[in-house]
Amino acid sequence: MQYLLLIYEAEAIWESKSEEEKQVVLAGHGALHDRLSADGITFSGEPLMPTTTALSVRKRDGRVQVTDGPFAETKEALAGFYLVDVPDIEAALTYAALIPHSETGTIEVRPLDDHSDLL
Amino acid sequence: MSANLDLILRAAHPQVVATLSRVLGDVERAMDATQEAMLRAVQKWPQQGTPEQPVAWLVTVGRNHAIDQLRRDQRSVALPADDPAGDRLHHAGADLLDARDVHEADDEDMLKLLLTCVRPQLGSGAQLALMLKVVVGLSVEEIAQALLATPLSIEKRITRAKRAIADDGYETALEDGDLSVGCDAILKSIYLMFNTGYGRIEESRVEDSALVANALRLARITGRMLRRDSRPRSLLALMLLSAARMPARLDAEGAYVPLHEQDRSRWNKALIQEGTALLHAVFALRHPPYGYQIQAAISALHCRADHAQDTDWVQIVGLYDALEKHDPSPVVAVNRAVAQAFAGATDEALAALEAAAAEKSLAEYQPLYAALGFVQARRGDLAAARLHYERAAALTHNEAHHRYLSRQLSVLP
Repeated sequence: MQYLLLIYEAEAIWESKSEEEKQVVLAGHGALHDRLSADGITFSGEPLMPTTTALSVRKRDGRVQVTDGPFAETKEALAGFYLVDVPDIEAALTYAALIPHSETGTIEVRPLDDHSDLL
Repeated sequence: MSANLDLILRAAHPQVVATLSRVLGDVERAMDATQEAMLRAVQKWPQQGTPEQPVAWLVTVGRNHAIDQLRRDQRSVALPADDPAGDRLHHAGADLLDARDVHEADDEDMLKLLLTCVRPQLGSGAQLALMLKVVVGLSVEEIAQALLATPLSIEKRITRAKRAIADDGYETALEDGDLSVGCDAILKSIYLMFNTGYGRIEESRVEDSALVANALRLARITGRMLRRDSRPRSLLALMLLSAARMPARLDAEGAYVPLHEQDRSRWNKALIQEGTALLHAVFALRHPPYGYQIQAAISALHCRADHAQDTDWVQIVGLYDALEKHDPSPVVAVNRAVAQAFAGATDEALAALEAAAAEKSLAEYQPLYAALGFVQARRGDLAAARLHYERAAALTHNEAHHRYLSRQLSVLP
C-alpha cells in the first residue's frame, strides 16, 4: 500500500531555527532515510520551497489564469512530502511519527488511490 | 554573555516584541517587558540551560513582568476606568500563553508592529530608526553607528517617533487598505536595514549579521501576509540573491573582492535557488515591473553565470535602462556604466561615469571613483586610473575596501 506523508508546518518555525537547529532536523531526515532503507521500504521524498514561491493555475471558461497562491489562509503550509510503500497503515503512521517535523507541525497520512475499484 | 546566547536573544527579539505588543496592546510597555525578559534570560539561561522555546519563555516572563508593573502602577495612581491596555492585561493574565499561540499569532503580530513603525507621519529616517530600535532591538549607539548619525540625533528621532505612535495607539485591526499603503514604507525600511547590514562586508554569512538575517525574516513575513502583492516577494528575491554572495566578498587577506573576481563556488546555493524561484513566480504573475523586481533580475543574471566571463552583460545593461526609467538615480547610472564597461563599451561607460561625477550628491561616493579607476585601467589610461583609485581610497573608511584599492594601485605604474 502506498501512502503519501504530507508535512505541514508553519513556515515561521523553520525560519526561526538557528543553523544548528536546522542541522538537527536534517539529521532527523537522514536517520529516517536510513531506517526506511534498513526496513526494506521503497520510498521517495522531497522538501518544498516556501509558499511565497508558489503559483496557482486555474482554467475557467477555457482561459488559463495564473495567480499567486496557495490561497488557503492556514498558518501551516505544505513543506515537503514522503511517498512510502508499506504493508499497512500502522507502518505508515510509525514512519510519519519519525519525520522530525511531527514535533512542530502536522504530518498528514494519505493512502494513494490505486484505482483497484476500476479493475 | 556568550556569543550563542546573544544570537538566540537577537533572533528572538522581533517576535517577542511583536507578540507582547499584541498581548499588552502597547508598544512602549512591550519594549520594557522585552528588555526585562532578556535581562532575566541572561541571568538564568547560562545556569538553567536555554529553554526549548526561547520565544515563549521570553513572552511569558515579559508578560508577567508587565502585569506586576501594572499592579504597582494601579496602587500608586488610579488608572482611568476605560484604559484598554489595562483591560487587555487582565485578560492576558487569565489565559496562559503556550508556545503554540506564540507561533501561530506571530506573522500577523509582526506585520502590525511593522505598520506601527512606518506611520506615514514619521518620515523614512524616523521609520527606520524606530524599526531598528523596536523590532530588531538595537541600542541607540548601534543604530547611530549603522545609520552614520550621532547617538543624540538618533535618540531624538526615536523619542519623537515614539511620541507619535503613543498618540495614535497600537494598530489593533488590520485593514487591507493599510497594508498596501504601508507596504512600500515597510519594504523601504526593510531594504535599508538589509543594506546597512550588507555594507559591513566583514560579516560573511547571513547568520553573522543580525541586520541581514532580520531583514530577510521580515520580508518573508510581509510576503506571506501580503500574498496578492508581489512587491514583498520581489524585495525578498533581491535580498536573497545578494545575501547569497556574502561569503565570497572577502579574500584570505581580508580584502574586498569585487563581483567579477569572486570565487563563485563560495556563493550560497540554497539562497540563490530560493531567490531565483521567487523571481520566476513574480515574473509569471505579469504585474507591472517594479524597482526591486528589476534589481532582483540583475542579481539573478549574475548568480546564473558560473564564471564572470559568462555574465550576460548586454541584458544587464538593458535591465539597468529599465531601472533608470522606473527609478532614476545617480547610483543606478554608476552601476549601469560599470555593466557597459564589462559589455565592451568602455568609452560610453567613461562618459556616463564622468557625467555622474558632475553630480554633487556623488562627490563622496567611493564606488563611483573605484568604477572610474576600473574603466580607465581597462581603457589603458593608467595615469587617470591611479588618480581615481587614490581618490576612492581616500574616501573609504572600510578596511576591506582599502585593502582592495591599495592592491589595484600597487599594480599600476
